[in-house]
Amino acid sequence: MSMPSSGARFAGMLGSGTTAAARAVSVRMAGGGLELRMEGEPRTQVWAYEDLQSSVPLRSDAGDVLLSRKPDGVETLFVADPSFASLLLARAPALSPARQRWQGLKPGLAVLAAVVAIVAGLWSLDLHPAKAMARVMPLHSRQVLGGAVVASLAKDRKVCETPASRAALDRLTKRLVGAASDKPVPLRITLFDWGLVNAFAVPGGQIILTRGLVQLAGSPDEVAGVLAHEIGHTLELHPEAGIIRLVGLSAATQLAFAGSSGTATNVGVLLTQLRYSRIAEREADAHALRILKGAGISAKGFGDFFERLEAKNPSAATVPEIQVLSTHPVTAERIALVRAQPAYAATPALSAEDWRALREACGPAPARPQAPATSPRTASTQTPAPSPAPAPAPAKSDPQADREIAEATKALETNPKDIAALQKRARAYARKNQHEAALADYAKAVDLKPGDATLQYGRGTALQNLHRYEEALGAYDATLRLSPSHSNARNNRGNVNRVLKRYDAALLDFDEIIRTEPGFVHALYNRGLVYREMNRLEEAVRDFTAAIAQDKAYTAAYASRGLTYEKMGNRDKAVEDYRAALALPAKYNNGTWAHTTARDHLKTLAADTL
Amino acid sequence: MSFVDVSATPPPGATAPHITWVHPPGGFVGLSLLNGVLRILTLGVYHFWGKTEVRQRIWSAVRVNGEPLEYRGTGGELFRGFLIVFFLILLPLGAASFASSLFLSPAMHGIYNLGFWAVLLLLSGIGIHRARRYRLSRTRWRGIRGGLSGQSRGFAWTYLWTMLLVPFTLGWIVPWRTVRLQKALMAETRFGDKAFTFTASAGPLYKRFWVLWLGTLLLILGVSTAIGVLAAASMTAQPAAAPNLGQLPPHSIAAIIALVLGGFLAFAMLHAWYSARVLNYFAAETALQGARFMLSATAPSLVWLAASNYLLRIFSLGFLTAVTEARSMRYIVDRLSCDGAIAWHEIGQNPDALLKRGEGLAEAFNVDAF
Repeated sequence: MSMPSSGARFAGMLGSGTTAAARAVSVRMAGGGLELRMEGEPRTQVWAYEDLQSSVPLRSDAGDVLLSRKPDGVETLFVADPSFASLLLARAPALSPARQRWQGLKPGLAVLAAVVAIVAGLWSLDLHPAKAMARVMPLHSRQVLGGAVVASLAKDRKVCETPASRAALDRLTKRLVGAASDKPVPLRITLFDWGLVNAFAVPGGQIILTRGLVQLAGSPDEVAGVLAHEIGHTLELHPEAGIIRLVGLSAATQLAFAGSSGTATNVGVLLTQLRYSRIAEREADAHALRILKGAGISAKGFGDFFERLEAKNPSAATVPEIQVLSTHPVTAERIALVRAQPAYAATPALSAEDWRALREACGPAPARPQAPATSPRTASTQTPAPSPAPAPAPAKSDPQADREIAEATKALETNPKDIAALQKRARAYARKNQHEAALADYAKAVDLKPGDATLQYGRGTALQNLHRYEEALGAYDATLRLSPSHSNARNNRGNVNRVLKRYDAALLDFDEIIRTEPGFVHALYNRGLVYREMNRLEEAVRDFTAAIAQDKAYTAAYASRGLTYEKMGNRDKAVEDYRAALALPAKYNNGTWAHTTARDHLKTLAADTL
Repeated sequence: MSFVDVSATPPPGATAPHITWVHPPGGFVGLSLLNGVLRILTLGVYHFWGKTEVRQRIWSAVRVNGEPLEYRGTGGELFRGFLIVFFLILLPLGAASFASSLFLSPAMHGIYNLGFWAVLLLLSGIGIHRARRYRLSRTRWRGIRGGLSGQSRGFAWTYLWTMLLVPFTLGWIVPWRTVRLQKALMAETRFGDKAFTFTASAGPLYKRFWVLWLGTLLLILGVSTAIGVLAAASMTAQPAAAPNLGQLPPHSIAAIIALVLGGFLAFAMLHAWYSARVLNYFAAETALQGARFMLSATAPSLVWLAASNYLLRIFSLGFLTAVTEARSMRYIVDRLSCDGAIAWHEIGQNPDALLKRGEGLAEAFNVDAF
């Protein structure tokens, strides 16, 4: 068949739309439309190109074409000729798949634009529609909602309650609520026999506390800190808003995806929830600090609890990327926030009897691992490395340091990019235990000269002193990348890992120092501490002995070996070591600790022998 | 099987309908993937327009005497139908369920749940009927529309109460129910102003149904007995082991998996053997004007169709759903033929008013086929 020109005639079938019969028709592409001529009739009719609609979006390779006329033409024209489609498309391009699909896409794109605009609006204006809805919920329905949540949580768990523990919790609740708000806040705290370490605020002013949390806590202040945080959630109606948001988002995604559930939509819901959760945690933390202060309870317990949690489960905060996905602000950040609070007069959150009643509400409390003993400060001669004891060292007066700070500040006024001055001032601040200020200067210096191992190391020590351990590890990693033989950095990294109870990592570092720099006595001492914490007591004694062999005046090594002997039950050797420690001057920055420890322990051991 | 010879004297101008599948240019894979992408891009809204184009392409592949069927529905109609169902039915139902779980006592909540499922079944029945009506009214051949008369409500009641009887009759109502529902749909189906006739009765289906019923029972008994014997044998081999499937030796676990899979395959074949009978019998009992339909579905081909479609959907994460829909339609069309002639000029246009909106309910309850 020859290629028909535009004047060519095509054979077609015309359906009248009144009966199912069809008539043969001949079709020609005229200027304004298709010219149809019935067989045996002189009359023609014209179907304008712009009126045509095709039964399918018209592809140029279509073997046949079925046409009718817009909008509701019942007549149909069927042309079974493979060349017809491409010729027709040239005259009626609106029939092409691209144009047809574009028509269908418009509503979808409008919805997309609307959703993007709404989300952007909520985000930028910081609107919280779920929270606004939670505010208008009457208290009764919030309590019903909370009752349902508690019922689902309490299914297989019993409530721990004795008259004494109830009274203790009520006293604590009253104290916290009194500080939380001027208005009465309906609040009920329930302790569940549940091993999970957690506390939840549920709608309607209920707070659930777990046995695991009470048992992990080292003091009533720690429990009070967590409760103050949960009360913060209650005040902000976070639990109510969370449920409303989840329901709303699920409905919206159901709507958007027409019931076809997709992983992508679930991820979207999850991410939205997490973003709001992180905001909520920060708000609750702010409330917690305010409430604790108002109630005259030290915020230190709140921070202690985070450190305890991190020590228990350090992996949660290891990978920085996880922050995007975690509900709680990175623990280090929260610890820093709590530690930054100025001190105020405080009394314990619970009396000793109340605290015992709470701890024994689920039955006799199991023997709790001892609170981490105050270990000696790292004995790096150059920098006072931190102790894991949570209390920040008080600022020290140091006239020499003050002078250096003044000089460096002057130098920086003329040249803010003076790295040497920044470093000098940072060191002086560190001597005064003003680690935040030291960190700021080191950070600035590192920004100016990122390739300097000494600056990275200084930043690491400042972070370590601020208990921002994960960041400190990052800084030490950077130091060692730049200067792999930096034994001080390696030593401090080992110490941080020990504090975080990542003993294997700590041992790797100390082994490496002992191998490459045998004269670095602190590596031996610190490895001894790791072994002792791992309960590998023989090896601990061996390391302390080796440290003493290298440095006969290493006060802390005697004291630590004494502690180890005491743990092994060897009282005589322990007494001998404590006496040796006291006979020596306090050498290195853990010398004072060694003296105090030796004196205290000698006292108890002596009392025991009496 | 009753056979009425209606083609003895064909009226003048009548021809026998010849039904064929002409695979459309471009096929369905590309379209299916493109729709998936556009759907994601538009937060799901394009779903309805994509579905419409798929139907246009499937319908145009079905040829009667060489001329294609035409699908005249629009994405906008489906979208509006969905929105109405979502806001007027799904959302209130969801809110009611949420509230009832909070505010009702457990006993009252149980009663509420019973009512809830009854309403859901009723709505499914209405959805099936309305979706079919919508689709038929949007289907044309030579400009003549199809149609479905009758009330959705009546169909939904039948759908509900026969469904409720299924457990009470141990499944024995199923063939009767299938015929009853198909009759309610088919006898009301129109092409133009002419109705289809549907003369099936449940009796012939029971000839195969009892084999399916008994076979399924025997399969369950047989497979569970065999598993028990296997497990017991390996238990005695290691007497210390507690009766825990996780502690079985690997070859026993493999044997159990093979038994379960084998049993499932045997059930699928048995079920397909019954389904093929249902499909073929229903076609044979369906007629339009002078023409009676014939379908030659077979059990193995049905099993293959179901299994391959299932795998296609799973492994493409649903992106190739359109392909599976086209394959299902093609399966029927390739095996469907007509006996007897139809006087096309005697068939006039369908006079029914068109539904304004698409099949929201069927979409919501996932009861539509294409």
